[in-house]
Amino acid sequence: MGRQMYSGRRSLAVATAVVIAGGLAAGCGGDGQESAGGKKAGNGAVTLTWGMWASGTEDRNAWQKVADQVTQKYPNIKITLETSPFKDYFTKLGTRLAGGSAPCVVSMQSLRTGGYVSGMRPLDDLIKKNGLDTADFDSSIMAGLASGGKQYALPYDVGSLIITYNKDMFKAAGVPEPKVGWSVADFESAAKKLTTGGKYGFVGYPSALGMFSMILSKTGNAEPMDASGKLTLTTEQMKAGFQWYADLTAKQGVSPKIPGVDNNFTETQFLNGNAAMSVNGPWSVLELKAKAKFGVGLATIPAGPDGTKSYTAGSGFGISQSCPYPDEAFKAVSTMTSAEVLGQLGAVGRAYPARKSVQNKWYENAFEGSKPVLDAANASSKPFRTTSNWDPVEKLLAQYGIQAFNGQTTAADALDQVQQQSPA
Amino acid sequence: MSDDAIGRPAAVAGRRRPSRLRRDGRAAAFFAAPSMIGLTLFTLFPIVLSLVMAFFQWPAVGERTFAGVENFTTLFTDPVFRRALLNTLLFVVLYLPLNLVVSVGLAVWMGPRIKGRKALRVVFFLPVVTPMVANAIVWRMIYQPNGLIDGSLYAATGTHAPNFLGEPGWAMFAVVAMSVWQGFGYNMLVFSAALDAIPRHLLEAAQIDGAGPWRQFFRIMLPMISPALFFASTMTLITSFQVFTQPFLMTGGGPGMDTETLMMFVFDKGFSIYQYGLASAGAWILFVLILGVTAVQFVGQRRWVTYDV
Repeated sequence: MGRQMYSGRRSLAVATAVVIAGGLAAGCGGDGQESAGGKKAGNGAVTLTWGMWASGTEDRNAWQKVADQVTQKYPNIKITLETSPFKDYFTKLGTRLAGGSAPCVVSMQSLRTGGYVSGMRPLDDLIKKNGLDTADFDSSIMAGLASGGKQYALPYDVGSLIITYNKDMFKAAGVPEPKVGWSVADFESAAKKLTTGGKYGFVGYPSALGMFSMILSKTGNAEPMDASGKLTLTTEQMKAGFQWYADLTAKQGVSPKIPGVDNNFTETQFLNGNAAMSVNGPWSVLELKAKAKFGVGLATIPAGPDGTKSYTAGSGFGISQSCPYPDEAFKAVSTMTSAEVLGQLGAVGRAYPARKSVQNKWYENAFEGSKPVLDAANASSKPFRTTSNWDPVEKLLAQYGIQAFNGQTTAADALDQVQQQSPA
Repeated sequence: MSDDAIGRPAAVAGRRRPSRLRRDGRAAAFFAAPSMIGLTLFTLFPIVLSLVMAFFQWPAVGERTFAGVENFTTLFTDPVFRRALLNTLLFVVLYLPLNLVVSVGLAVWMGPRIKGRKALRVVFFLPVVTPMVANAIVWRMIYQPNGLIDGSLYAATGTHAPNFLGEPGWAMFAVVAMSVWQGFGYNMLVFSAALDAIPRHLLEAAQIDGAGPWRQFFRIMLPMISPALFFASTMTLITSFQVFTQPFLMTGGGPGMDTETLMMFVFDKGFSIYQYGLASAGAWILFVLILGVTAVQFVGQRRWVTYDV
């Protein structure tokens, strides 16, 4: 009986061990052949997963069309589109890269490239192997999607930060509309005149791209990062520039007080007609135009001592390290960034094309006067480089920046905190 | 010899039962298997793994190296972590008593004589079942400049209310107030049921003996609902240590570090910079903290919880 009892216990122990081992394999797996990113059917057809951000059904449908175009060109490649909202997309992506279950085709934003390269596959060998000519791509966004000399994604859109303004509010206040190359002084005086009756001339928020574009232009040389990739938030010129930008809210009062962390703050204030100007990327301009109940105009970032300056950002598609079918994935990525597809995306205003040859398509749907503004912006902008851990910096900028904007701390103190607490 | 003499009867006795025992054992294993497997896979395994991770440098992608207690020393020397710890304690100290006072108060007020008490219960319970995201959006509109509070105060008196979520001194109180509104309904239901279960004759006897409403409340009602009070305070304490959604949605931890809580810290380490080791260590510190405080509560309950009817 003793032996039988023992064997019973032993089988239970074995069963438990098997379960735990199974759990371990499931939890730590990822090096296996079966990948969530893609699978191959018996007839050689490959199904690839593509992770993308999308804000709604309409957005999703537009990207689904892009996925379908891949299958049209390569009938044995099928794309399964997975979408999530922009912010969640990166949270999910990091977790999935860690678990080795990332989608094969990964969408990547230039600001965040540095943080995810360890889970992504460099594309240089595939570019060479397939003889893909990358000269048509805007060089600044190619640089934005590269890291350590390796290309991690091919871009689909690009854009230099610009000012969007409410034409109706300018007209009502009798303020002349901004011209290409207008100065910081012009901007401040317009903002002051437009701030009246509970409305504001401008809306600022401590989010990196827009804020640092304004600060760069105003100071001429204050940048958040040096050439070696270190944060340089505590330089004198950065402190001065940040203080100026925060004081638009805190001292000059031409921008509304910020009610806590709210990433949509500038957009809602602008669309509500509560603020006459905001900083934006061309990627959101046509959407703004569609949503706004007033005329939207574009202007360059107000020029400081060295003329107008701006940053470029954009996004593209890359391939995850865990993807079992990189060749097929590369075919998909190069189709998704082909002149044909980008031209279509540009024409419907989904993206300002990263390929120079089809950028004119975007203007077909844009509004009068946008071309000289974007041309001037693109000519005076440089890629926005980030540290490899950018998300925490962005979060800290919002947390401490809001205090500075609301006048409860100085720019110097806020920047000190962000610089100190940011991961190296 | 003596071994044999002692061993034999047991073996004899045992030999008579095996078949039934074995059958029972098999049946028991069969019935227990689903929950055992579930427990192992989804509870024990993650717990053990997170404990292991806490002692490793465990980046999302890349090499994992054993780090000993380094993660814990990193955390305790990190001013942000200490701030998050203090913020969490501040939240608990403010939230727990407020929640209990409001929920007991309303439960007592909604006595059997109140008309429409069932409808009222539903109304007060609504915030508990409404999605937190919706709650957070509504409360942001209440708190923001030109929002409900600021707007009506300005219209009435011409002065502006503070920027509740954007000002250092106010943000935590604003989050606590919203959380109390959101969470008291559950405890209120618990207390309401406990109060209804108090035998009427106890209160009547007290009344005849001349006890006023306060005396009845402190001498009869409170002791009688003390088991419910113990349950509610323990559960609320545990959940309030884990506070995350409210500050995450309303303030993002700001302004500055004013509303950054332990759970938010863990989330950031885990899902923003993907340092799973650091995040696990943070989670274990939180777990030990909760365990400790709950243990103190269990020890302390002997003094004030009565189970006599």
